[in-house]
Amino acid sequence: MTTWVKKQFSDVHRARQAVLTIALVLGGSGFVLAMGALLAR
Amino acid sequence: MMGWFIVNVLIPVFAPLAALLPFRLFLHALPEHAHRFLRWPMLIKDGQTAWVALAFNAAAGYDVFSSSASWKGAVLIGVVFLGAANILIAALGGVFPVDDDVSPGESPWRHYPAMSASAVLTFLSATVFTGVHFLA
Repeated sequence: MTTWVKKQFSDVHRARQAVLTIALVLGGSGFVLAMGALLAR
Repeated sequence: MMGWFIVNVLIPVFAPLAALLPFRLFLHALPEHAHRFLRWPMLIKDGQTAWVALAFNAAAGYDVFSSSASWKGAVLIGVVFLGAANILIAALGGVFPVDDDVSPGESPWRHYPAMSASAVLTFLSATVFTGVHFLA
């Protein structure tokens, strides 16, 4: 885990990619959850 | 309804961009070296709109928390996920800024990944915020 994180942050480009991927997956699943609950009410 | 949307969603996102307009109008009066900074991508290139989207998430969370709907748990979890994503982009967009050297023909959306991601997240957050406000 620590080595993986270190590797991701070893250069700026990689770090950006990692952060963007995590953020978009989180945001996407959050959106689907929230909208799903709202529309299925 | 439109009033709520303008005041709570459109103004927070677009007012800073509109504030650039007076500077654009008097661009000729400003020193040459300042011109490259007075363009709209400069304001949001490192995911700055994620801060606004985070405020949407906080407000949506409050709205849904104080509602008595049966589906509020799922929405709350969704809002927390969206909020976590916005925190990541807001914080790390500032930590890893991108130089404003878009080469001719290159898309600014590709050159500034944090800007693209925050645009998507801001759109999603605004949608959830509006949905929660009118359905909760």
